[in-house]
Amino acid sequence: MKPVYITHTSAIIPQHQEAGALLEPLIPDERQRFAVIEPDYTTVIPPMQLRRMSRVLRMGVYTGMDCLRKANLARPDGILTGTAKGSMTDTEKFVKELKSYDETALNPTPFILSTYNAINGAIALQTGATGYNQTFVHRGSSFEAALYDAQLKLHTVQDPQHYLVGCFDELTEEYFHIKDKVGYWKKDRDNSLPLWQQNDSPGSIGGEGAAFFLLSNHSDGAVAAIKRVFTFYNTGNSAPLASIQGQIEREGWTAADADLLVLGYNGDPADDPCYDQVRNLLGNKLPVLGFKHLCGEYETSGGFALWLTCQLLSGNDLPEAAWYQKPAGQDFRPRKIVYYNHFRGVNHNLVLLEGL
Amino acid sequence: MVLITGMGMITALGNSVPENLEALLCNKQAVRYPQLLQTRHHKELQVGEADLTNEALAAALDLPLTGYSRTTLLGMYALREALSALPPEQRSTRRIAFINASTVGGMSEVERMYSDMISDAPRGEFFDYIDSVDCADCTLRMAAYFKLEGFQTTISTACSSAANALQLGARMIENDETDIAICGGTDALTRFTLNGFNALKNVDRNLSRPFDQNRNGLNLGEGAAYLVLESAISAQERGVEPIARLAGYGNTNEAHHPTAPSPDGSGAARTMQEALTVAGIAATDIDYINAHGTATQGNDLSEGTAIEKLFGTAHPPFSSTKAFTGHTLAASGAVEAIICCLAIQHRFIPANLRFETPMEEISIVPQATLLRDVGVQYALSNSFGFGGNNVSLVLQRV
Repeated sequence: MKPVYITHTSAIIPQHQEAGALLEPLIPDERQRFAVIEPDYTTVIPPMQLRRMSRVLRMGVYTGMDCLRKANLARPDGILTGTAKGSMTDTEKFVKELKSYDETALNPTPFILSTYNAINGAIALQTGATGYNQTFVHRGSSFEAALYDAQLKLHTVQDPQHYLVGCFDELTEEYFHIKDKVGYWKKDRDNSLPLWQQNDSPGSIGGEGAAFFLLSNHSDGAVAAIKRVFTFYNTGNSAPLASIQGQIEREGWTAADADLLVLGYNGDPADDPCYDQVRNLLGNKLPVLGFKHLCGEYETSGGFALWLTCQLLSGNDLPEAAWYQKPAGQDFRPRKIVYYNHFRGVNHNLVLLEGL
Repeated sequence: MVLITGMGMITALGNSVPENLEALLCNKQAVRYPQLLQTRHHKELQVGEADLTNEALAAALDLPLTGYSRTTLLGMYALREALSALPPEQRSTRRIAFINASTVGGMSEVERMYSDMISDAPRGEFFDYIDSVDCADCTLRMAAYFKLEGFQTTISTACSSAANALQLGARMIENDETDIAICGGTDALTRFTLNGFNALKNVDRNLSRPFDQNRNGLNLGEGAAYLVLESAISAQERGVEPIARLAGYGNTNEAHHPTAPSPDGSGAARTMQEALTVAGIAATDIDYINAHGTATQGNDLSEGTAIEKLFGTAHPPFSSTKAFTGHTLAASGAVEAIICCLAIQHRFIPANLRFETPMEEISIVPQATLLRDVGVQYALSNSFGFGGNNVSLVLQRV
């Protein structure tokens, strides 16, 4: 397929992102989790609408609208999103009210807002975007599925088009508590240590975030090209190395071409060996950008990873602590980037990117 | 060219495609008070509930009694029928994508166990369903059960979810991204959705009356349906007779209101027009429209107006088969695509049950009674959802 180009980005993350102070100072996780720093939503969402929105809706709609604002684009030609949980807050609320009100006198608002495509609809409504509109809910491959579909759909049109593609997931107390029962999170965590240096105990740390990208089938003003998106399923606790190698070769790259790896190290000894295997495949000396020590582990953390990579490609320097393995020298500007991330060994994702 | 070479479905009408066909041809009344769904509304709200219990579904699939949500079980049951046209030895040599759809995933079980899940109890019955809160759980389990190891994803765009799965599968085949795409959706009845629509005042206390002046909302349903989409080359190599062709699709957004369609039908008309354009045909080529037809005030006004606008007074017969099945939410797009295939194959137009009084705002009426011996070359299937997510599909006789 033809590449698609990233022209603009926006994200809500648990770290600082002010101009000139990207990730500085680094904010550590607290109580085995990260929470995002919420922006002043009123700058892009009308107050009337804001009042009716729950937390992840605000995060998603803000990020999408902010991305359009940066591009000075009133209306995208398509809106594609990925989310594992949608508005978890609203789902929890409605399911509990069903019980507490014994199925009577229910307020339908949380039901409406729990719908996974609510953010797509809200952005379409706010921008008058009547084009292609799609929501993927495939747990750890939700965001990557949206990227894949965006590339496929943009591949079929000739005229310049701009799709708003993004992801969002929130970490609620109840979700954290439920997943604690199945060992998602570390019991003990010394947050003065990088996450991956604590991979002697099971589990990771919780995270959340929203990220949107403006993708185009034309390269004007682009920071990166998405060459290939591939999702794999259930390869267990080993990385799908043969498939990864196959995809790299089909792109016309060799394993030696990659100059940056973006890997989802999360400090869980069950998960991290996959990333080591990919490093062994593509080169142990390559710089490695880590990201879950900055945003936590969640199903659509790939949005944060891609956003961070785009910040690097846009000329921002990342602090030393951002790197799992830092590049030699100054002004590192990678050209061929391999992103590999998996969620609990079930959903594995590969994106091949080119810095422009 | 995207061919349909397999189908499987389970709805209140029947547990297989032949049973659903038989029920459509005898105007079976399947919507009734729930026998299985545990709800305080069990004597007030009628639903389209599949006959088989979870125990019966699990037994038929040779699965343990716990751990699988009803949404997953219904999905597996329908998918098994669809895959009967694709023997395992023919799967290994082809790229097979699995594109599933659901609106509430395992909520059918989670809603019963949620308070235990958030309690301090580390273990309990809930433990087997702890990953079933999301919509991917059913897809992952179905893929594991049937050893579908290729591309897979899950779509959730409310009532157009399965129709969106079908259009993505078609686009993947057209762009040589896969040889076969198994596409459809599954949703079990839940208190969550029943009460959600009821709180929105979208549920009729009586049996629903699509496109009737006196309609008063939908009846909720449940079900699962899957279609095997296949490239012409792959179908030819396998030597299979295609059932029909997926000739066109449209996906647009209303951008009008979070839950209501535009009364002037402009959004619905745009979606149908896009599907016709992709299929390369004119409105006059359509022989049957399987309407979204939820029987809510908003949908039927919008959709009826759009059909009138696009097709004029010489419109082809249209009917909403949700009066038969109830609104099966994420599954409905695939349920109704299969009904279109059956109409093409068996030369009939299903009835729009319980239609009596024409709507005041439009001058067209649905096909109230079953029509037999009608040639259907092209059928159009509409699926319109919350969030303004509209999809139309064009099915063609081959």
